[in-house]
Amino acid sequence: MATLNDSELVAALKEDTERGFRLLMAKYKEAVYWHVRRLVVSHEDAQDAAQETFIRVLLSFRQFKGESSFAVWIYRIATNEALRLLKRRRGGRVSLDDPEAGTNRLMADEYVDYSDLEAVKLQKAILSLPTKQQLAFNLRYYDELGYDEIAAITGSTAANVKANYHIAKEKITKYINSTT
Amino acid sequence: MEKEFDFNRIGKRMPYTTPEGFFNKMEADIWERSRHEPLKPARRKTSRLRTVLIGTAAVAASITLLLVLNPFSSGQADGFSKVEQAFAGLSQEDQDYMLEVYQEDIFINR
Repeated sequence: MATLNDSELVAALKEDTERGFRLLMAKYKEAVYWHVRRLVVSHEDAQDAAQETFIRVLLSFRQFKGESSFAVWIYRIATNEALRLLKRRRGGRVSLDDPEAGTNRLMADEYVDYSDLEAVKLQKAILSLPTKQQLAFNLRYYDELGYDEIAAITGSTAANVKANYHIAKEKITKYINSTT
Repeated sequence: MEKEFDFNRIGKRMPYTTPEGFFNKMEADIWERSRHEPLKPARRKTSRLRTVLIGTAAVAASITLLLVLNPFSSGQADGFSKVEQAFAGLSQEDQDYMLEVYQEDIFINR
């Protein structure tokens, strides 16, 4: 299936929702799933957050005004869904920045290849970061988004995102080197 | 001695996996759900606006009632038309703000 650019994708959704949906999924389903998976860690939670994201996109794409790119809009919804789910899991009481909780979720999930020690360690290091640094790192490193795009997703500034990304990288390196 | 950690060595590799055929199933599930749980954001927005207008109208009506009962006042006013006038008198920015605040914005609870 051909991948359309985002304005063609929005137009396709408006013209024929099912066709637009198929194109939307072809372009974004894996990106959104992996983005939320890196935040919520467990496969089931990532599945829930990804589904909610696409339901919201489907039901509100007509309200998309093009003030940001469609990709930024989708990532923003996905990020909200993931953070909302994490908050709900913690009864809305505990801070999202709880390094222990992330590691516990990682060690408890059925769909993790624990034999890849280096990859597990990298995810543990990422999960030990505050949420803003996690977001800056993940969206830059894995999704290759620009600082301005990440800023639009996280409601921050490009300069802040850039700083968070570099701090995150340093912390990850220190974390991993200190645990080898 | 262990080697220093190198991002280039690990790249984007992750330990996370998914069940077989997961992405196709997720797509099918979302499409099925979207067909059975249709929300109507545009209607919901109108409904919220109506709620705001009715609420504001109630306050305006109370004020109007006081004005009507006031022996020094000679005018009568329709609460709804006053609200409509007041709303129409707002700047575009303020109108947008009113709509935005009372609409169920998906980012409002970030």
